Amino acid sequence: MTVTNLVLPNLYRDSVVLMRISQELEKLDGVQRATAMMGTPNNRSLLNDAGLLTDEGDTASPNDLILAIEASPTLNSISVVSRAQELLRGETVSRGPGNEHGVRSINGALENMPDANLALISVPGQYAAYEAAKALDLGLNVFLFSDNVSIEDEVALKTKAMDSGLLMLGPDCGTAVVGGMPLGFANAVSRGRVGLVSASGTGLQQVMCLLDAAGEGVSQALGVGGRDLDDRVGGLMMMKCLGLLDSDPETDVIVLISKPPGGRTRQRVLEALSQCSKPCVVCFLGVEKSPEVPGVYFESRLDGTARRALELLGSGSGTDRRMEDPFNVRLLMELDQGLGDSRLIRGLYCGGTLRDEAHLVLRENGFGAVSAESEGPGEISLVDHERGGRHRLVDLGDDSLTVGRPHPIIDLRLRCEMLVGAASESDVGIILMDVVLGYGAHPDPASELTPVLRECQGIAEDLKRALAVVIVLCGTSGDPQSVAHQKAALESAGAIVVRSNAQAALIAAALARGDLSLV
Amino acid sequence: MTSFTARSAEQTAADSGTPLVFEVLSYGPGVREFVSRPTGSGKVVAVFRRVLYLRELDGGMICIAHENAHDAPLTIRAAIPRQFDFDEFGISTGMPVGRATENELHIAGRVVLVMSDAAEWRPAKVSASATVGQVLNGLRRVSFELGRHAPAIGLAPLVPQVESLVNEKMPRPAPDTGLLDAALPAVEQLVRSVRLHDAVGVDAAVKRLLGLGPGLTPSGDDFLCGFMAAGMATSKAVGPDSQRSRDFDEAMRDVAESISLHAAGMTTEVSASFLKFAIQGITSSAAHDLIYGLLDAGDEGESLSAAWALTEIGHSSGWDCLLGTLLGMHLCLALHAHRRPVEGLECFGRRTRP
Repeated sequence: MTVTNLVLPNLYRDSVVLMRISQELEKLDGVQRATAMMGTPNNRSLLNDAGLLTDEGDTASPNDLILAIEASPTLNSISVVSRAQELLRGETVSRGPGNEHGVRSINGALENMPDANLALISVPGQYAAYEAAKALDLGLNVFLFSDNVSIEDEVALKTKAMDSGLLMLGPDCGTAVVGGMPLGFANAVSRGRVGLVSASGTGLQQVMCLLDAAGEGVSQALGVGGRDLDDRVGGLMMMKCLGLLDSDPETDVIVLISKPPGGRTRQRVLEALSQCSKPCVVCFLGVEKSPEVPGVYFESRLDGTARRALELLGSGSGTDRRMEDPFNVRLLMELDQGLGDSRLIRGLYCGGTLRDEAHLVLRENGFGAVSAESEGPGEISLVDHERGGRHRLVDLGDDSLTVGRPHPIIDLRLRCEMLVGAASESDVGIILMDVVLGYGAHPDPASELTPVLRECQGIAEDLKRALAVVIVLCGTSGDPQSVAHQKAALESAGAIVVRSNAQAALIAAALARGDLSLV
Repeated sequence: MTSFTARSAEQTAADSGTPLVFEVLSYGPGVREFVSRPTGSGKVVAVFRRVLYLRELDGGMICIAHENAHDAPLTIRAAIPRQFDFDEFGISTGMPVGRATENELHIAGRVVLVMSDAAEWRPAKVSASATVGQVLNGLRRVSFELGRHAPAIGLAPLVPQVESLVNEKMPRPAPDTGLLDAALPAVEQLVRSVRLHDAVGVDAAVKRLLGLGPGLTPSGDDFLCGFMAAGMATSKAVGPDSQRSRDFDEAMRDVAESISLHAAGMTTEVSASFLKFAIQGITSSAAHDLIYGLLDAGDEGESLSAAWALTEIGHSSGWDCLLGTLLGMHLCLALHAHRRPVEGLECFGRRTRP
């Protein structure tokens, strides 16, 4: 390796610009290292210790900029130097795309908008806790969309928020509607009398959408992050939100949604619920038996939760079928006939709760023991004792699948790949999936999915069997994607499309068992 | 001439060659003479997005900054909107600067600063109402809360280690960077030498820190600015009524002397200019806000907000200055700590008994 020093007299550049220039130079083939520093004696010593100082560099004065480059000896040093000079000429100040107002920090944003009372933070997980802490210290409530934040940081942030009387929604909070303002992945729902608090983003969206389908609206929808009811967090933000909803004059019924909580946290939540003055509907997904608490109604599924809320408002009943969609029975029968022995289910979900509810429905309908083995990230499976094989359900939003890539609600590429993969398995005949609409979601999921679904049907034809695609379309008529257009497009590609996740799972179960009486 | 009102006006003005006029809001003590003189000229030496550096003919450095910038010794803060971009407006290094009239400074014929109603900024006098315990708790809180989120830039990774550094206990391993490998022993030597009132050790430590690190104001310099301002302010608050106070003050004078002796040859002229004021106890207003917040035992959140605001200066400059500020205050208090508990409240400069 050869080291070259470019000494630029009396040249001052922004540190971030210099860092960027160094990074650009390091991308050149043959360049091993590049760094830029003022030529002070201590900096020359640093460069020397790093093996990056030449005799020329050692002549620099403190006001000179040294650009030190280590590169392959076969690399034309003149071209590297001229590239460096080009970069220095071209970049006199640091710029960021789309940053018209020059705001680079929460402090800066607050200066531009001094009346702001909430910060929505979505940065890579390693920086998220830092920014959230800063926002809380500045007196802002926080909606933390980022995941991959440690549980220790989550506890610290929520404790800090509690001490300051602020909300800390998240981390890994995908959805909220606060004072009518949608945050993150939220659907366009009308204002109404149901106040929701949830440790599940898609669970929250599903219940809101089902309420909307039945003509009822939402006062508040508060996401607390997927781990809030884990015993390590202890339901810190859930308790606070329950208290807020109980004292909110616009809320008549409180709905709480979560995967089953940790044992100690469950007890705390039940105690908090017993103190609520308003009727509460609690969905600990899959938990049917719960202690009796006056004024608290337990449901094990999301559709049941929405129905119960309507009942408590006096605008529905336990048998309310406004949330279920009619579907093409003839198509269902044709699929049942065409599947033959290929009846394994592949579930591809962008919401963990929707996957879990589907899993629950399948179990309720005779699909035997849960397989404790997960054979891939975000996957749970069910053994099919009758036919052999496993039904597999994947949560594409699992942390392990979202490092370095957008959430599957926004980015459909992984799902499209997995769709084709599933269709290519000869014993898979049923694909079960969610398509989630709303603010922040993919602007037109059907446009990406329908060609892939047609490709999957083509693969199925080659394998000489049918392929049933059952989709839960989680959205409202007010959503920007047009739920009617999405439904029509997906159905044109041969899918069965319904609005209730439980209904979709039941249809899949019926096809898997070859027993259409289930629906 | 057109007053700046919007970004489109900036671009329009740039195209038409019409100078933009901005009122000066405040200026630091380092540019007082320049502001009060009816004549003067120089040139632009550095252009950043929202900051300009000028050098007067006599060598003095001046920083021109927007309305939301922190006041600082060399800064002229003008009613320039935050989104104004000097570079986009066509200001570049080497362009001339001069006084057209007694109250107007013209920069490259493109920007006019009107100085008639400007007020001089100086850090306010320290009024300490906190007890030593309260200040120490505040320092620990800032060090902990910010330290757990410290980025791996400059000397920021040492922020959570302030108390360890003051007590000369080996800190937990900091990220392995060449800068930290060089800076940490220098900071330790400074702390030890101040404690032992070792002028030779102080001089050696200062020389190891001056000009150390990337950027126009290297990390070691920013650290020393915060250290000096905080150490001197805290010492004033404690009061001169003990031998310990006198020893600490003398140690700070040793630091100041070393900086004064060596800065010119060891760091950039801009940074040396800031250091000249740091040895008088004056640095960025953001650091002073933090110092006062801690000494005043005000709302804890205010100290944290002030600390966060400080970290937003430059790239690592704010964090480096924060480290120096926390260390300077903490070291001063540690050296004044009483070994036996006292009755009643212990306040700065006096004791009150029930």
